[in-house]
Amino acid sequence: MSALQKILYVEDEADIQAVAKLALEMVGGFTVKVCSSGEEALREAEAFAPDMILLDVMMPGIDGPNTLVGLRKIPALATTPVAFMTAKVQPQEVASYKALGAKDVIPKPFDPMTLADQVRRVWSS
Amino acid sequence: MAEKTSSHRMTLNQSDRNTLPSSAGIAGHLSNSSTLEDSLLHSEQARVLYGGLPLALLFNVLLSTMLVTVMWPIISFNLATVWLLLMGVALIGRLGIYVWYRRKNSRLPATQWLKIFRITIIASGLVWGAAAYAFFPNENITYQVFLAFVIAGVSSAAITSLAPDRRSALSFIIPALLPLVYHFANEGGTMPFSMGLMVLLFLVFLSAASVRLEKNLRENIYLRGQALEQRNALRENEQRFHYILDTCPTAVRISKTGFFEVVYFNQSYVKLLEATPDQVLGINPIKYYVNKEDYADIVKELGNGEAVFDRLIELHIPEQPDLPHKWTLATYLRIEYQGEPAVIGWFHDISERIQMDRMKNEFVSTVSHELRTPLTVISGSLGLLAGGAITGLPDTAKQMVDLAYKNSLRLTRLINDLLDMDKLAAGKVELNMQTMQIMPLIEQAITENKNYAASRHVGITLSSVSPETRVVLDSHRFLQVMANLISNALKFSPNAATVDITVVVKDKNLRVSVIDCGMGIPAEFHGRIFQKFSQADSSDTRPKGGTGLGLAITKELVERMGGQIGFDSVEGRGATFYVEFPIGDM
Repeated sequence: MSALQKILYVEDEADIQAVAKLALEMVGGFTVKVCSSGEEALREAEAFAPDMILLDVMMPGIDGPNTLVGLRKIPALATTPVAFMTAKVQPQEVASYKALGAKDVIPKPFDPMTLADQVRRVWSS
Repeated sequence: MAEKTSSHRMTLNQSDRNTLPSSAGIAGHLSNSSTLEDSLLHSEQARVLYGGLPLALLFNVLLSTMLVTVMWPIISFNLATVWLLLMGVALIGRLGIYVWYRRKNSRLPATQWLKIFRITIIASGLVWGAAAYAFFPNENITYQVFLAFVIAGVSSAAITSLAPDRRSALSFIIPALLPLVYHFANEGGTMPFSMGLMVLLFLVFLSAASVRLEKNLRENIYLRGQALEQRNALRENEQRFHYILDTCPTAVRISKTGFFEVVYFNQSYVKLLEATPDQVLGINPIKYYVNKEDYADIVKELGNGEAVFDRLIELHIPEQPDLPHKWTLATYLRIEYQGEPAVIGWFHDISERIQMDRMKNEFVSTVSHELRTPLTVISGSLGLLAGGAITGLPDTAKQMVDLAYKNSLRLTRLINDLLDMDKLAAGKVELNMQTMQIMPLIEQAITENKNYAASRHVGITLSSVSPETRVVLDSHRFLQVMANLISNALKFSPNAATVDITVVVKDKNLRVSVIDCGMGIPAEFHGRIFQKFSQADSSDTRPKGGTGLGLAITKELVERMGGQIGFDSVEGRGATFYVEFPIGDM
């Protein structure tokens, strides 16, 4: 497994996009591509060829879990590590995300200074 | 319904049932029979005596006519006429009281009717006895035998109809038979004497039989009364049972075993299902079960002779798909209903509670999401500024950003604490228990608190005598426990102090202690330190913030992981909080 560099971040909230992108790029030094919806992610993910994908859960249109299902159908992304970033972290919710194939869940609100470390930990776990 | 029940209650009380004698003790009981039983006996005696009157009168008419006809050649016309007239008067008198009894039965008590009957039966007996005086043919054995045969026959027949009342029986047979005995005795000779003796013995035998028959009747009446009372008691119990079920606020239904068709349901049951009675009665209840497997499981358990208690069951009426489903806690017991094996089901409607739980879960989930989304942005932005990811802020602005960031974290903790407490209270905290070394987790907890420790200018030390020891824990929740204990210790430590964390083996447990040298815990607060919303200083101006939920949550989490929590503290000399977990693998 090569180093974690390219992250696809799918989030509909523009403000959170900005904070997370900043945290991941400035603190973590990653290359981040942000998609504002599941549809956009499904359209552009393959071309971006991310090392890891971060997905919000509640989004208009295709939500996070369905986006994950769609991404898994793209051969190039079938094994790309995926983590959900969400405030919906009740035990049964977390269990359902993991059942879909997510590696882990990063709860919101996240600490921007340690977010990059968290993502790295999930990626390498 | 209530009036109906109370009227039934009057027919038989519990003490009556409890004093029922055994059949062997009936005779003794009869001698002390109550007024109620006597009254019942007298009524029954009167009913039987008067009921048998028409047949007895017909018999009397036939026999008296036959007697006079057969003996006509040897008796005087005048005597025969007088005797027939007397017999006619006696029979008409008895017919009269019969008609009177039938029409005005309720006018007189049974004892009066019996007295009237006895008077008329004495008259009838005297008339038959008079036949012996009037028609006894001296020295004509053939007619003597015929006369004796007729009078003895009448007496025998009378016993059958008069048996219920020995006084009536004796009132008839004694005056009817004694004159015959007298005449045979006076006739002289062995044959008449023997016949007289036989008639006398017959009289004694009939008298004894009448006494015995009346006794049997009394027993019979008593037993019938008891049977009636028991039937009433049974009916009363059944009515009480139905009354309780009918008015029970819990839905109840009874279904027969076999096809399990519903044979009884109460109002609460149809109300629960919002069904009409014909949608319920005679129908196998499986159709109401949303999950047919639930029904199959219950039938199986009942079939194994087990009772089923408090099973969560979802019910609906398929014909009414628009109606919301009902959630019930159901209990099933095998019973006997109307003499057949059956199953009684009790359904406690908890739909509202389930609905409320769902709404609450949705609310908690929504609030959690809606609050956390802006908080993510606020604390994220401030965190980047405060953490130095973005540089170039003037010092004063940096100071303000630090303050804002610190408080955004505080708000996050507050929301997390409230949500955690809610989940703990609802028993919805799921634990992922695994065997693991505890030291890496403690080190991670210290790392996560380093920034806070630095901001408070407090150091953290860690010492362990058994770093390899393994315990069974949920790592995420243990980190939460340690975060709470460490942040509390940091919060209450003075400037430049140190928080010491020690890990030791104590008996068969691993003890992790977090030791601070802060102001300690006042003795009066020791008893409620782990209670929700508890803080030693609850004044509006208390210097340390917090929700007062941290230690309550910590205690709950530790105990759910199989550990225990405690503390030692003297006010003014700091505090030591410790958690202990059993050493060992899963």
